[in-house]
Amino acid sequence: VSVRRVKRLRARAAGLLLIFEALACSTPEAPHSAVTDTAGLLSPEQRVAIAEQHGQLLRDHDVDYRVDITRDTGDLLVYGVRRFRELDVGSRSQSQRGLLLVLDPSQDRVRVEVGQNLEGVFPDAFIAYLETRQMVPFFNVGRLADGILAATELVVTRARNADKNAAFEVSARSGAAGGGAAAPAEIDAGRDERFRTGTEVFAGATPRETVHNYLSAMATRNGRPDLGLYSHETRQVLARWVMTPAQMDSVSRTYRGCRASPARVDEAGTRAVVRYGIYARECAPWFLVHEEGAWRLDLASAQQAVRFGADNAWHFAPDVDHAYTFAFQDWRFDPNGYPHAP
Amino acid sequence: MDPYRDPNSDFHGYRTAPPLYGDNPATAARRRIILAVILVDLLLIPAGFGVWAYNQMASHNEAVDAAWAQVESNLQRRADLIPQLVASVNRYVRHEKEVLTVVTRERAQGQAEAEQTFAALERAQVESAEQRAARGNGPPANAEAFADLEQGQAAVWRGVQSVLAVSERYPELRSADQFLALQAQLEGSENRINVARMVFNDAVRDYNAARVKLPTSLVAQAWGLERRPYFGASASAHATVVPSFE
Repeated sequence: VSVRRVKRLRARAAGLLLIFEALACSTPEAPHSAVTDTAGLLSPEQRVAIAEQHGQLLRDHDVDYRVDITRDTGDLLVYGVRRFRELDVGSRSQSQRGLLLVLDPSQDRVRVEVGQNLEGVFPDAFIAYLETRQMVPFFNVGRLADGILAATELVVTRARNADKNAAFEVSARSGAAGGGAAAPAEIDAGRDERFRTGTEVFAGATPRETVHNYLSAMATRNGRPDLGLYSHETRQVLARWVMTPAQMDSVSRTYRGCRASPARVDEAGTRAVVRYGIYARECAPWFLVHEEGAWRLDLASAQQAVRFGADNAWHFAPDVDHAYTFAFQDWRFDPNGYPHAP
Repeated sequence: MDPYRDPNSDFHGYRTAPPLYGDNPATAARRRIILAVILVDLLLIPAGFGVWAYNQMASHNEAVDAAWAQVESNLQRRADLIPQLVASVNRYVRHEKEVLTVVTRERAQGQAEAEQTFAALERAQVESAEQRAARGNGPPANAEAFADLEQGQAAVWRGVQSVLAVSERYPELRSADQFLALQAQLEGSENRINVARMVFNDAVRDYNAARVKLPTSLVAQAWGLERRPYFGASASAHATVVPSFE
């Protein structure tokens, strides 16, 4: 009798599980719930991409980051604070950490509302920087989802550093109290040429000199896509890229602490790699190609071959072949493309 | 034979509980106890209501003062940022003056205007600080005092906007990250003042409602609790309407 009863219970449990799964799958908002887009500016794929990235932020750093794209919000501050409460932003986080991005295309303004217990990690000045120096340059060329995703990268970096330095406030203060910043969204306003100008920077006589020149250009936010230190192919790629001031700052800041090894040149003397120690995980290698008597940066190849993980550690895209493998023969790579000591 | 056990007996009376009549001394004592309990209840229930109502009013009062503390803290936050703004713009204006060997009349006039703007903001700031010091702790006591406060804060914010307008003449300054950060902090503190004011007004509304509703109104009357004024948004200071959050 007891065996029969156990079987019956198992069957019921399995039935219940199926019902729950069916309900979870049939809820249309489930995968996109981090994103509300009543203005209809994002495609379903873009909503999923943003929701996934924000889900990762929640899992890794316990920050509940929502996006709300709505027209005719009225006063963006009042709307943001009210919406923060209505959506119960922060409720998915165990520590009640919440962020809300509000984009109103009818006003052409964007605002990021910061929960009270996150104001120390994401001060108003940082949010203004994130909006104007990272997000808006993508909005300028109509790439809304890319702008939101690029801004989230900065949020992730900041959250990672805060976790590392135990900077997150441990308090019960939740909800929004006006922290954050607003900025003109400038959607489809055209590429901001201020960040695509600068003085000419030439390629160096050695690969390391070229890398040094490049990092100096990034430190001064020289976003010119046709600098002499770029390879021909790189210039073509950069002409289409959106290079934001925040990205240039990030490159400059990251490599400040990286010590380069002597450059490795292939047998033909046409390609070179400037790489860093195997444990310098944030310092990705540079690819260079010898063109017209100078070593030029091959960012086009690097863009295809190099990826960054959630902890900002670089690795090779596992399924991409490139012409610079000669410089990494002494390292072992795992199936995900992460380098390891032999 | 025991009448309880004899099925033929007519006696089916009480076995444990005697009837409540007659001059049984136990019955009289019980009646006195019940009367005493009723009397005590008649005294305790209104007293309990009174305590509850008093606590309600005290909580509302406390909420208003706590909300005001937030307003004060945000006003102070903005006040602390203003000298940085003035110093930052002033430094740039002076730098420009030194760099240019030939100062045109327009530019010289612009610099004079800028210095007047800084001075006006500093004056408004000092007056506002003196006003707050004279008022002491806690929210202004009446609508007139609130009007004075609003006027003072409006003058400060107008001054800030004038300094920001001066900065518009220097595109390099406007696009500098440091200035962007300072401006964001200033706007952020202004936003926090607005939000804190909404929360304060909500708390005042709850307090004032409790003051006129029964039974808390009885306590409010007995203790002479006054109606508390709202912190309205001065039209000259803020463009936004300040609605309630609830």
